[in-house]
Amino acid sequence: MTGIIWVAGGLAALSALGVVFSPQPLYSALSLVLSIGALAVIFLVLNAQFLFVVQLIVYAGAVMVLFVFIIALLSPDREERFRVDARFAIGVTFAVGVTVAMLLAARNGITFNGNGFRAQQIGQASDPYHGFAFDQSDNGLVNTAGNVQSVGGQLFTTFLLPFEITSMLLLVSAIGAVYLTRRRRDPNAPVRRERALAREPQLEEDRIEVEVR
Amino acid sequence: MLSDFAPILVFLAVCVAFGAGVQALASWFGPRRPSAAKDLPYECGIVPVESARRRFSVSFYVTAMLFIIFDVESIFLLPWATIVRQLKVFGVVEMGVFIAALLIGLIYVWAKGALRWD
Amino acid sequence: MTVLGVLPVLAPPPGIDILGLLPEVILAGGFIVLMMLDLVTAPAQRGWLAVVSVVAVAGAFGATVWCWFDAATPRTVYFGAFAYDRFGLFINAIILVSTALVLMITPQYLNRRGLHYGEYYALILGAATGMMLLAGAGSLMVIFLAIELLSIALYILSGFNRTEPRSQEAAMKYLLLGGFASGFLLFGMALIYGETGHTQLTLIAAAITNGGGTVDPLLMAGIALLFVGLAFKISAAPFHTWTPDVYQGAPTSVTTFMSVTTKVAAFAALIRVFSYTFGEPLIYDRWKIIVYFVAIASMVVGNVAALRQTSLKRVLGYSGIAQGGYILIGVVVLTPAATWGSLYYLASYAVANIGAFAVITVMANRGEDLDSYASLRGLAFRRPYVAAAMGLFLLSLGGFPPTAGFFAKFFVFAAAIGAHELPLALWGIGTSAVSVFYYLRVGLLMYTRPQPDEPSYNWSRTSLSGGGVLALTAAGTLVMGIFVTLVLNIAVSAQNGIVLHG
Repeated sequence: MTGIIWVAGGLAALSALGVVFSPQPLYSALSLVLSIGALAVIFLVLNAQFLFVVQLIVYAGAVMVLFVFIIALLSPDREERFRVDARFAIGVTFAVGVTVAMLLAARNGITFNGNGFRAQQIGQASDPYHGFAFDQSDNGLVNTAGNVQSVGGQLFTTFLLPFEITSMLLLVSAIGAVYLTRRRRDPNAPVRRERALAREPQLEEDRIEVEVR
Repeated sequence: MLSDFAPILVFLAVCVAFGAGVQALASWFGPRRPSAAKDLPYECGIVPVESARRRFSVSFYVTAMLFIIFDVESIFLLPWATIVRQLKVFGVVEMGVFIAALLIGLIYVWAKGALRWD
Repeated sequence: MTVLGVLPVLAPPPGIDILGLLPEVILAGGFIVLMMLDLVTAPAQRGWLAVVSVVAVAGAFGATVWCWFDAATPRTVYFGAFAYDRFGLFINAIILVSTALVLMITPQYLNRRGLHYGEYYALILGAATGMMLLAGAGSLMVIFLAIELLSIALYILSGFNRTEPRSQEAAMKYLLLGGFASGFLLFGMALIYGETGHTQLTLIAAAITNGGGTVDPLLMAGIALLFVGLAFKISAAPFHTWTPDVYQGAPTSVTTFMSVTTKVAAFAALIRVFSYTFGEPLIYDRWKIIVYFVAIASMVVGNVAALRQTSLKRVLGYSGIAQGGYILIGVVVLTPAATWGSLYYLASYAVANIGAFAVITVMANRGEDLDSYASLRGLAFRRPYVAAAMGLFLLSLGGFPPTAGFFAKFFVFAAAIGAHELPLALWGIGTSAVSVFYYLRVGLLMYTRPQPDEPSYNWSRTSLSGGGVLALTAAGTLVMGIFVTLVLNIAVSAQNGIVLHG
């Protein structure tokens, strides 16, 4: 078990470096898929099945598609080549420093043994299954079977309000996606007489065009 | 338990081995005669006329974004489905509200013509 | 009989109390109704959408007033995720009044800019819902999602003018920096959760108290990151760099809205989280240093940078940064007087700032916005009442006696002195003196006669709703400055009513 975590963790770290150092944005995106996949494996080994599924379906699936489309949407052949300079050195020093500092700080807070992985206080959340009759025997340990059920139990009690806010958040994003990318011939354009006098009357010229060279 | 996933691991290993094996066999036994025409990107047999690297329409992006919105919705159904029996009517109502909100989003996106491709 | 028999099954389990969220639910309902109405409303009829949204805001305001009397004993609802208390309701009231005022000046401005799309109203209501959720957030998750809800709506609104590069630039800057700030916020929350095992603020406070006198560095890192995320939303220096550009580039009606409501809501969360959750002396001594520095930096940077501006929107942007610094004094100082002082300050800032931006919005013509100093010259001779109102708002922002701003500054500085934080008060008083220069410069410009050959700005005619908004905000500024106890009593009661334990 520990071996799988080490392999997957190393793979995740290596492919994360690949994201940063790839000369082509598309290779970066593919490295990111690998990194996400490796993290998903770690989640699975730790018995966090729900996170595993989310990681694969939402991140490796949907979000990566979005990344690839945005790479395709932007002009893809003007990549900035990676250079080693002073800025790079400062960035690396900072990143390594923060990582090491976090690891040192976390060393005492998180225990890790052969039976699995246990953040010290997780699960002490008072009364997580308030109001419902769930099996509470696995309270306190993340790594037992039925992680998806525990997530569901939390989602509909402690995190019920955040869950409902999410639906509204998604609605607002949908409005934004539709509004900001509106089509050329917009049947809903304002028709008041002010429109003709507006500063830039060519309201219909604003679609991002397919550019053929 | 993690051991429940052992068949999947075996399946993965078989897949990787099969893919690698076929590749290896092909390179051992197959003849190798490279030519310029073979390096061209394949476009249904038509000779490509321009670079494949060009801007794509923003419509792809909008579609992907709308897909994510509904993807996130569907992911919430998974934990809900595992405990819907304990939640009883309350769970159905709660998820109903959530799905109704997203349904309104779908109606909105549809009526605004964001799903049209022209 | 059968129908009644079903009812107990439908009743939600204990802990879920929809009543505590009544104003938010009404506003969210208005948001959905507006989304649907936008689909069926003819472009020429979109003014009615403004009417519908004002009705929704009024409904939510009515619910807030009702809840104020209902919430005499504060409590948390939704398993501790939301605080149903007078503190949140006071902030709700400020947000709702501001939203209603902005909605009243909106249709005219959007028409002049050729931007009158129906999405605007739905997005404003969506953002306002997020802000109200933030004001009452009792859990880190709700804070994060409420901030995301209001931010995403505001990113879209900043870029609402899709043909204007400046508006697009504003949206892009806001989105990128805002996304970055959200990252800090979320990372901080993750660390706090990891250390305390809770997301509910009351339980976090209990976990810290029970922690037994040791402070884990990860908890402090989490608190610091959380502060960075919130400081971005209140545009406190050094996290303010987006503010002037976004305020200038966004459509002015949007700037009016976001400059006030975002700040008010984020300050509510800041006070609730920092002054009341992390108030434990051991923790307080450490985060106090950061907030102390940020407060002084905001006062200095905002006021000094405002001196050098030539754009009215940017001046108000920097002035907003400075005002944020003054309110932060009320966060650093933990006494109750500091909290109600901040609440009073937020209310007075809301009226004066809405008023000042409303002048820009209402006076804007079909070409340029009323943004450059030149466009202000001689306003008093053509629009005497508007210029007088603007002068009043500037006096209030500068903290002069007959206005709300004077007492706001007075309460906050007095609270700082009362808590033996004299340096903070002195910084505040000193930088306020600096601010007088730029507020007076704008004021004097309006009363300067333009040169005869100089082309003057073609100010718009004041409409009924625009004039109404100016009259209301001017009256509010004066009333809060003269009958101080009216709002002060409510603010004190709001401070008293804040939820402390589950």
